[in-house]
Amino acid sequence: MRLLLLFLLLTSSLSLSLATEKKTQSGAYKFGVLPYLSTTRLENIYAPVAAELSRALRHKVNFRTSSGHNRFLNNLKQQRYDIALIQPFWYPPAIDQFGYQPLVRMQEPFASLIMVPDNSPLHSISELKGKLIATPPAFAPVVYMARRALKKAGLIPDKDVQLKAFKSVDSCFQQVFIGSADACITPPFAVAVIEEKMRIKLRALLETTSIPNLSIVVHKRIPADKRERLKNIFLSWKQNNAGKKLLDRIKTQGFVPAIDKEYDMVRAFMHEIKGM
Amino acid sequence: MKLSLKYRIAIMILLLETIMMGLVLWQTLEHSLDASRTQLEATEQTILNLVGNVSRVALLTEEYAELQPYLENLQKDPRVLKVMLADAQQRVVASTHSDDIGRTFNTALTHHNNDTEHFWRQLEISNSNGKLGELAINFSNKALLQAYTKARNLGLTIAAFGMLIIAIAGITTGFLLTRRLERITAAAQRFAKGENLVKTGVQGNDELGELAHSFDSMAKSITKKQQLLQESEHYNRTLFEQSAIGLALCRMNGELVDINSAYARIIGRDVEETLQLSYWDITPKSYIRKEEHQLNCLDATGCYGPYEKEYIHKDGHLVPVRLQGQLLEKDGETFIWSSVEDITSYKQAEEALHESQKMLQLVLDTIPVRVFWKDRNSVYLGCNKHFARDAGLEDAEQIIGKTDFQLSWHEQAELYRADDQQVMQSGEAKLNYEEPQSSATGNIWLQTSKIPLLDRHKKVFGVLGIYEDITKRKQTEEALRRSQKMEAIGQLSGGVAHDFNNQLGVIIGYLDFLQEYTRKDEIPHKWVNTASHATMRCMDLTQQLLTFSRQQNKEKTVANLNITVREQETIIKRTVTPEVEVEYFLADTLWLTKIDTGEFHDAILNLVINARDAMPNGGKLLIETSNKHLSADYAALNYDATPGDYVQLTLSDTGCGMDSETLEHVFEPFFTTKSEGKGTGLGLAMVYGFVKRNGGHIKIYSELGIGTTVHLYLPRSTSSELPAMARTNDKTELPTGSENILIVDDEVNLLQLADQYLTDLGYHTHTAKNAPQALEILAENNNIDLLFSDVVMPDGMSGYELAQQATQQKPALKILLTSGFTSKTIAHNGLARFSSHLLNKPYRKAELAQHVRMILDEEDNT
Repeated sequence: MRLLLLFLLLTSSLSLSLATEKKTQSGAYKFGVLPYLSTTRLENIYAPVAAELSRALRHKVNFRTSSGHNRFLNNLKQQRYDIALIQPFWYPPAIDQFGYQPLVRMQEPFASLIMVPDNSPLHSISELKGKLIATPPAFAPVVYMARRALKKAGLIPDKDVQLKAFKSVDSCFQQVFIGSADACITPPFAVAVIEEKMRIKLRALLETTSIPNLSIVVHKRIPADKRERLKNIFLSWKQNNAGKKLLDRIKTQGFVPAIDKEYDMVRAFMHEIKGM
Repeated sequence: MKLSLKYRIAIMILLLETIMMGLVLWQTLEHSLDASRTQLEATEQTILNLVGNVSRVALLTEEYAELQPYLENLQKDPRVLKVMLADAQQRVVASTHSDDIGRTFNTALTHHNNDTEHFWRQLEISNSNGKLGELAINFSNKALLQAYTKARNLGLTIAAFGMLIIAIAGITTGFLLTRRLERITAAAQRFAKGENLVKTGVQGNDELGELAHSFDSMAKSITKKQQLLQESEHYNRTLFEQSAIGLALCRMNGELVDINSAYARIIGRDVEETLQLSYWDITPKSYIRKEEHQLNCLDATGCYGPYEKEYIHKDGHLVPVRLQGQLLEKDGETFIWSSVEDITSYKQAEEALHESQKMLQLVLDTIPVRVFWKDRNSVYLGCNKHFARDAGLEDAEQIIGKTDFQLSWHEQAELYRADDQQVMQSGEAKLNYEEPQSSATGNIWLQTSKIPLLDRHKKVFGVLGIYEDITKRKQTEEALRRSQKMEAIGQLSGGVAHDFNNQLGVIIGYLDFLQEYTRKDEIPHKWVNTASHATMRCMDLTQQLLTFSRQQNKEKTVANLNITVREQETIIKRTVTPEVEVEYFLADTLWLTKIDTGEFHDAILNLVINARDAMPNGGKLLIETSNKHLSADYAALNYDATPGDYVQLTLSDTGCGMDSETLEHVFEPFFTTKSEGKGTGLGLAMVYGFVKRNGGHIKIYSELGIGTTVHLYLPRSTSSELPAMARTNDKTELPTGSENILIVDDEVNLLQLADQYLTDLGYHTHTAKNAPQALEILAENNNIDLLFSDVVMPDGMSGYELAQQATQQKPALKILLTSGFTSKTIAHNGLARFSSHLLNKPYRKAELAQHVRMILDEEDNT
């Protein structure tokens, strides 16, 4: 009798753990990362991040991305992601419209850089006149910011200087590397990655004024305590070695709490872009 | 049914080819299939990986709609039948079959089971965050099967075609092979039937051509060898028949099978007659045991002999033979093959040689010398019996093979060997040389001659040696040499002593005068006395020296040595130290001997003194007397000894003894072992002189640490006369006279001294310096009563001759002679009558006075 009870106990425990596992799998949070790099590249960086979040949160977190910015934005709009790393210009709609709440942001300011290889003959923005600048997809914030800066520098985009959009920052730099483009527009955090991958040294011709950097938002359907824990997890990475390694992969010094008020300037910029 | 070789070759080739082709085909198909399978698997894996990469992106982006066309495109590849992608929840999210979407992955898989025509390959897609999903592709086997079928058909076709060709080739080869083989076979059959110089007639550079050529060569070679064999057989048969040595082949039981005529001749028969006999018929029964031994050798080694025996001749006498032989296999049977040699003449020669050797040995053993001979390495080849005895061997044959190193004279072996080699290398004889040899009785001397031995080619093959023992001769020569040396020393020392004596006479004479003149002055008188004693001592020394040199004419008397020794007992006792014990062993009936007792006393005293000095810490001194006969043998060993009866006096001490070197010189004057001032070295010389003068013999035995024994042998005397001249006392009143005395002496000082003496004594004197002068004085003076003359004088006339002439002129003249030594010319032809009145020099006044008075008082000589 005792043996039977023990057997039953064991089997039920096993079933329970299996069910929990399944439920856990099916109830995993999706951590969507905007496709600022190729899917494979993003997986290398953010799969470990998701794994760490899963461990720290004790809740499975799956890394996700999309094949393009539009699709990602669409997924964001459809609130498919539980946690999302978004660009600054997506912050307002994500918070204001899509049901997300701010969590943390990369502490570095976000700017747009017009980069050239270190051995490029171009040394000033004015020398870009008549040149071709490769850009990420047109709707990328760095592109907007760069256009605005070019204008301010006296170069009318698409007139004084040609801008050609490519699929990703990787693609942009590939064009520069093979000589099809003279410069490339990129966010700061991608520079180190590109330099490391392509084993080239880059030099900035132009750096726009900065706005708050990429932020991590979390859907409000996530319980508040989990949201808070998530926030603390991101914030704690600056203080521990494992976190520092992740931050290094992401190419940021760390995360700081995302304050909504900081993104007012982004909102104003978006309003300006609409007028553009 | 006998199948021809060509068909068998063909069938064999065909079978082998079939097996080979089958194996090759199977291996080829397997290999081809494996290669195809591997290639297909690689391609499938590549497809899987490619689709996997695309699927990964789709899983990460969850954009499966874009994947769908991609998957459907894959189906264009005939190998790909279906593709399914499932997410982490095992839910199919993309598939080439749309009805699979939404199903669970495993359900979808089982819906399309594996069979022989298709199979699933799966790939799990995951990252560091865990499993993303799973990809499954259903591949078709059709291509593989098609490839397999294609390869199989091709292989079979090739195999069939190949076998056909091989079969044709096999048959052709067999035919070609066997045709030439048949020709070779035919040639071999002809050769076997006895046909000579057979040729196959087959040519070619292949193996059959080689075989045919080899067969032809072999046939030629065999034919030639057969011819040679026949010739050899004929030759051997001729040798067999014509051999001077008997040859026989017999069975193991002794039955003679084949012999030559020489064999038959040995036993006085012919061949046919001998072949009727058995070996045992011609072997004497006394040789049975010897034969058994030889048969055992034959069994053990396959051969026997050579050994000697006898055969029984037809006429019954025994023929000495030498046999040897061996076993021989012939036609499957074992025979004994023997060679037999008639050694009758050899035996006769051997016997003659043996006799000759016996004679030679007899000659060698008879001759008194030792004979030996050695080989080039100084190894003895032989010797005579005298030599063998010297070597301590019982038989001369025992010397064979030995070297000098193995004999009793091994100490001289190197020396002998060197001499051998010198003689053999130089080829010249070394004759009559002396060499030492160690023997059981001590070292001996040999006189040896060595001669090189030459063979008939005049080459040295050894050395012949002859020697004789010359030890006795050498001892004799040594004794003679020693004696001659002693005599020469004696003569020399005698001459010196004589001259010295004369001067001493002068000194002592004038010292006597001084003693009288200084009688009243005590101190000068004392000095003169001291000088006189010293001079007397010198006189004693010269006396001893003259005694040794035998130039002193002493008066001998017959004496019993026991009495003489006892007379000296007191002196002897006083001479030795209290620690020395003196014992006397005097013979009861001792023979008499004629000696000068004074000299004897001196001799004894010298021996006692030597004994005392040899025992500084005390010891024993034994004095013995006995009668002794010295034999001829003893005399032969001691040169200076004469066989006869002697009185032996022996003095033995337990002193330090003397070594052989000291003994060698012990009788030499002035030789001493005593420290300076302790001895004059004249003691034993004086004893030696005393013994020799008395015709005796002296022998000393001494050993270091043991002691010394001195034997004096004095000739036996049968006379009973015992006169003795008493010693003069200086304090006795001197006889005087008034007669006329003629003094003759060539020494002026002595002449004057004598004149002074006689004048003092009251005589009337005349002096002359030589004999002629004396004769003149005698002629001028008829009143001279006494002639007092020195014996030895210059101008050719001695004192004796002067005395003779003087007495012829004046027969009543009394004669007194004086001399320091006795010449050898004295005492013959009547001159000896004057030697009875001889005053020895140096003489003192008292002695002169007594002698002069005694002679003058004698009755007339006429």
